[in-house]
Amino acid sequence: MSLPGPVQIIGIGSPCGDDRAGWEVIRRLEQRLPPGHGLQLIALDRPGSGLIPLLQQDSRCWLVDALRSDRPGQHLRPRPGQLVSDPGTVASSHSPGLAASLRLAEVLGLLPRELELHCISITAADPLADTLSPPVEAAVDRLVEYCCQRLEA
Amino acid sequence: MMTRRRIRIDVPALTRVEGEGSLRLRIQGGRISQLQLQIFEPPRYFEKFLEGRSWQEVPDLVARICGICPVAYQLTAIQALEQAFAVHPSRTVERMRRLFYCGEWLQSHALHIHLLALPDHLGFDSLITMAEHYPQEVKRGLMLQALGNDLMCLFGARSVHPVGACVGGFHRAPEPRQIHRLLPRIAEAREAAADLTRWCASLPLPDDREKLISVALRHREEYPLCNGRLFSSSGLNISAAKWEHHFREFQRPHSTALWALLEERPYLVGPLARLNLNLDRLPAPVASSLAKTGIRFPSGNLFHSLLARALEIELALHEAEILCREYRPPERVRVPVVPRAGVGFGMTEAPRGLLWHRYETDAQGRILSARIVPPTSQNQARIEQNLTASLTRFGLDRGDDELRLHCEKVIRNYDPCISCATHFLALRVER
Repeated sequence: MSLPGPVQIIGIGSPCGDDRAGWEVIRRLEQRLPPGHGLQLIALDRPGSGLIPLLQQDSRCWLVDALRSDRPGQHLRPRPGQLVSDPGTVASSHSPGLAASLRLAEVLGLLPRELELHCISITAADPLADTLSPPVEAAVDRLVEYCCQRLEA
Repeated sequence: MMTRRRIRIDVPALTRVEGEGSLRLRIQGGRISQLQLQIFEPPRYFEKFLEGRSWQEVPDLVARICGICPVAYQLTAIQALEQAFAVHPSRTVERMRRLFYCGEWLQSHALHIHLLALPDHLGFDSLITMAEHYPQEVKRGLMLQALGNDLMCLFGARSVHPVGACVGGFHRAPEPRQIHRLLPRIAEAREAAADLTRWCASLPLPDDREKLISVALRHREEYPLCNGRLFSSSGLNISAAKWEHHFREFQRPHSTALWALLEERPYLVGPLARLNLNLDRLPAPVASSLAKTGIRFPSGNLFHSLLARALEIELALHEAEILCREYRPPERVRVPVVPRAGVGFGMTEAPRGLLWHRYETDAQGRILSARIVPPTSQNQARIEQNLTASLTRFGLDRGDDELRLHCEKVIRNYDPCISCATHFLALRVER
């Protein structure tokens, strides 16, 4: 891999249909990348409590998550400050969401030195679906390809 | 002059009624004339969904009831179905289940103390603001919660809605090296947990003492998690099968979550009730930690629930360390199960308190009927009773914001799965 320093790629998701996009990116990267690639690839099921302890301050970190939108299957790269943080989710008993978690990590001085958000737009997290919809399936493939190209550049 | 106040609280995500609730408070002539914790989210009908399903589907279905305490739902259902089918898992599997459950207590209690309750007691309006002033404490909470999640993942494959447990045992057993790898983290966490207990005991918690009925499991040897008989501070001592003889669930017009009473009286379930009834079951190091706080238990101060949670974190870590050291994979990770027609009961101690299940099955093991009584609904009557007394002590002539904050503190103190918003109490006063 050509990127200098440690690289983490963290896919956030759940088993619910298109919401598993982040997990699928990690699974497909594991299949694509050669043995001994040296990257930290993590599929994560809970952004708040699970994410912050994983962040390595000396690493480049790419976070992959699903993002709800009316136009599914897009690869979006918002800045952390662009994520809409519902103040209520900061103290949710079901754990802080991604925006609140990143804000909390920032306050605690736990953000990695470089952080990129890679979001795939989905229309909904369907609890009854165990596969990706066609547009999200295609977007996952494109993002995996994009990651591989950057890692091998 | 008549004073009329209406306070509304948006309380999303109650267990079983996941969604919004509100509090209606009317004060007339300096007295509370109406106080109702209103749960208006539609029921989720899990018991009905289970009817007709195979016994094999039940553990994974009930895990979906709660994202914070899925292990409690799974293991209680499994216990009930194993009773119905006369299945007896091995001692090793019982120990694995206890370790699995320790993980859930650890993550749930660490979340509640550090992320949900402490901003109340330290005077911050959000976790983020608190983290600016107390970064080490927030980091400690995240570390403890992450360890709990990792323990759950070992046995459940994932911490949210895990899928590893089944009737008769587990689908697979972790490798010893996976378990032993956690030991250094557990040792570090035990030190942090002892600090946490001392710190919680030093906080200026409100003095909210009441005469209350504590209800919790008691085990003949150990602090209760997955097993035991049901005790109360009023003299109850029953098996799970007798729950319906002493407790009554009923509908209140202002709540879509069922209420429950013990012999027609409100009662408390949860960490404070457990500790009140199980002081003699604390392991020596944990009992010593409690003694050093100088706070006497049994306690009727509901805000000592925070300290009880901290102490149960110590207990979960103490137990987890022993269970990890002793872990050997079982020869058979699950025993064969032959379904049959029958009735089975299960009860365990979820982080928030007693969880009770009853299932009736046909000869193929299909569910004919299911009944699930979660801790939050059991505490509803107690919360209303507590709010009435606590607000009166606090002073009904206080300002609207003070009243609202106090109501939030009282409700959140029960960790009722309704703390999804920092400012969940929207206040409207009519005079």
